[in-house]
Formats: sequence, structure tokens, C-alpha cells
Amino acid sequence: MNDLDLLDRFGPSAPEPSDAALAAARARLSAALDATTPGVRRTRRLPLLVAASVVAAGGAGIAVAPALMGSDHSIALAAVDPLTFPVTPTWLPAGLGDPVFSKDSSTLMFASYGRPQDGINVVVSPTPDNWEDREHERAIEVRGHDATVFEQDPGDVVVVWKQDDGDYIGVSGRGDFADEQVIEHVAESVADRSQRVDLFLTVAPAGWQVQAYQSDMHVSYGERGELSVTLLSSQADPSSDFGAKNVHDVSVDGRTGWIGNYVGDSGTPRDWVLVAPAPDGREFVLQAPGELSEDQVIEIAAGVRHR
Amino acid sequence: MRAHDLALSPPEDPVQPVDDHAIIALSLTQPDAFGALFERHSRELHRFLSRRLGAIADDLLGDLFVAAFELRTRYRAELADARPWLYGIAANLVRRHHRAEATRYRALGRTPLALVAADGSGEAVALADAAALRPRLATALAELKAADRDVLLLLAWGQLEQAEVAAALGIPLGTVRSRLHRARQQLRPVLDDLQGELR
Repeated sequence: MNDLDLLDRFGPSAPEPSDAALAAARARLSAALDATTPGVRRTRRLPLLVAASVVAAGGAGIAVAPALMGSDHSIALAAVDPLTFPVTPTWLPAGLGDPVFSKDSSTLMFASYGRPQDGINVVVSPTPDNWEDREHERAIEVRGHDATVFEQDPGDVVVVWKQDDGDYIGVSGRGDFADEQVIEHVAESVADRSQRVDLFLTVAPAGWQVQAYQSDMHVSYGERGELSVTLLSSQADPSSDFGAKNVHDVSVDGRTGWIGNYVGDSGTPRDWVLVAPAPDGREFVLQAPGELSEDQVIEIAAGVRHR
Repeated sequence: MRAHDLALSPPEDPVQPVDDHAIIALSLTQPDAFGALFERHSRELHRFLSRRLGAIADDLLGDLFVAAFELRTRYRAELADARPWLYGIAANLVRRHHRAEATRYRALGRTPLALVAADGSGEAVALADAAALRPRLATALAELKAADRDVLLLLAWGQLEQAEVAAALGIPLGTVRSRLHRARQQLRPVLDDLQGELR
């Protein structure tokens, strides 16, 4: 038995969590989920994890908002530009690595360098309201703009200023990077040069906007994320993983994948689910509303790009 | 029933279809999906917190998953398995209670164990003798530096690999190895005695 096994076996033990403890923790998380989108209508699409059981229970599609369809309820496709993050810090402390870009369902966009506990975030926001609970705030100047530097979430150092285009830029440092001089230096280096994110579509329903993305794994379009692409890192099974019916193989720009539907209460096919490799070989799952035709879904899938 | 009530209910027929990172990605647009991560990892994380901090693990489990939910937009997807990330958040929470952790180990070190070798066989006696060293082991854990203890216990109780511990704590692999080496050296006397009783 090695040292670690000995520690595991003879170190302090712990009882299994009680049902009450788990229920209390669930309730706290549930409250956090509720607080995420106050006043915003929640999506009716259910997570992949429960897709199979949901389908068994009757299925739930996500209706496309009328504004996203033509007058004849059709949806046209159009070429779209690659996704970009609008600014680039030209100086960063060594060792932070490449950024992860993300955008949540609000209008905030993030470029995250390093780790959540020890890293630097560059945030683009249309309002200054996203930086609350400021402590030790003072005025400085960044790139010729009036700016403020303050502490937030004990330990974080943040610099915020308004760009000429009206957007607010925030640069924040956490953990080892919560250093005022470092963060001001990074802020001063921010250039109006966009950075392309790693996962994007080249074809999407005409007029639909990006709803959210996390560049290395997920992107969604539409008012409520009606169309989404998520990277997979293991092989997916159409029926057990996604509850898909009517599954059959398809060719996506010469690459073999499969496509199927979620099926509604009446047995009517609803939203599409398609799994195929991107041109770089990375497999993805595309979920798309049933209002699109199969050919349109395949055309969108053929335009998925990673890296 | 609200949508997330479904996602947060203990699944009667658990489906384990996709990687953690896909669930986290999905939760960016569909926050309810995050409940699946709770169902997948909460018991294991509670056990880790409870071994280190005792009863306050009940309170910290909710803190851990709320913090994870809030940090999900910055989750990096190098690993499909979110355990190292969740353990990193757990280690951060434990660090805020490092005095309570050391106090717990010292208290366990003072707790006499009533041990009886069940059947009097050689193996049972050896196990009972080894178990009698538990208080000493607990006391020794209390004496470790908090950073060294983090590394050691993420390996031993979190069952992470060294590279995963590095990712969880945001430190270089070399630092993981040096901290592990230092912790092992410090625990060497009691670990050697444990090995001796089991031979």
C-alpha cells in the first residue's frame, strides 16, 4: 500500500452526505440559477443530459420567435462573419497563455487569461452597471480616457473606462494578478484590434445574432439560443445521449455524421440534432429548431469551424 | 414544475451522456443544465470537504456549486472532466477555513479509539494496530503547511493525478511535486509505522 493509499484508508473519514444536506445545497444552487436571468423568460429547451428522459415524457421543443422567421414562416440562411472579440491587450504578464473568449446571454463579452482564481479578464460591456460594490475607488487616466480603478470581490483589482464608441472596457486581475500596477499596465495596452474566437459558424439563419459563446466549446444563435453548436470530446450515441429518433447518416461537406430529431407528444419530429466532425476533426453536436429543413441543418453544419 | 427543478432533482433514471465540459457549455445559455453537474459530483465533493472540515461541509457544498456556476463562463475545456476544476474551487473554500481544518485534525488526534480485533486473526490484529495510529496521522496532518496539505489531500482523497492537481490549484507541476515531497517527508514517521503494522 503506498503513502496515498494509507492516507486514504487511515486518514479522517467522513459520513455520506445526508439527504437534507444535499437538498439544502441543491436549493442554494437552484436559487443561483433563478437569479441568473431575472425578468428574462427562461428557455424551454432542456439540457442534453435529460434529453432522453424528456423525450420519453413527451418532449419539449423550442419555438422560434416569429421575428426570426420570414412572413411565410420560413427561415433563410446567410453567410456570417467569423466571431470576434473587439479588443486586444498588447501587453500581459508572462505565463497567462491564450485567452478563452466568452459571452453570456447578456451583452457582456469576456476574454479570460490564466485561471479563474489567478488570472486577468478583459470585459466589454455597453453599460458601466456590471461593476458594482466598488471599494477604494479612485480616478486615473487610461489611453487618454477618464477611468477608475477600484477593488471588488475582496482581492480583485479592476480598471474601467469608456471607449469612444460608447462601450465600457474593464480589465480585472485576480489572485496573483490582483496588482494595481499590473492591471493598469494591461489596461493601457488595450488596442482596438479584434481577435477571432476559436469556434464559429460561417452560415447561420439570416438576421440571427450570437446569443452566447464560449469559444473553445460552445456557440449559440437566436433570441434564446435556438441554434447551438457544442464541441464533444467523446463519441456520442444518438439515442442514449440525445434521445434522437429517425437517426440516419449524413455527409457534411464530405465528412460522415448523423442527424436525427427530438420527437414531440404527437410523434411529430421537432428540433434537429446533428453530430459530425468539424474540418479539423473535432466532433460537435448541432441542435437546431425544427422549422429548418434537413438540408439547411446540414448546410449550417458544413459551415462550423473550429480553430 | 419549473425546468430547473427537473434538472436539479435526483435523477430516477440517470443518463450519463456527455462530458462535463459540454454540460458547462450548455449551461451558458441554459443555466438549468448546470444541475446535472451537481448530481454527478456533489457526493464526492461533499466527502472531500467533510474529511477536511467536518460538519461545515454541509454548508460549503452549496457554496462550492454556486461558485462553480458563477465561474462557469471562464471554465477552460482542456479537460472533459470537471473534477479538477471543482476540486480547485473546493480547495479554495477549504483554505478560507484552514484554521478550522487544523483544529479538526488536532481534535481527532486527541480522540481515543476503541478498537477490538474482531476475530483475533493476525490480519485483523494488524489492521487494528494500524487503525490505532489514526490519531497520530491526524495530528501530523495538522502540522503540515496548508499549501502542502492541499496537494497531498487532493491526490489522496480527491484521487486526482499530479497534473490535475496542478490544474486545480493553478500551480506548475514541479511545485506540486515539491509540495508533495515535503508533505511526505513530514509524514514519513507515521506512514512508516503504518506500513510496519500492516506487514
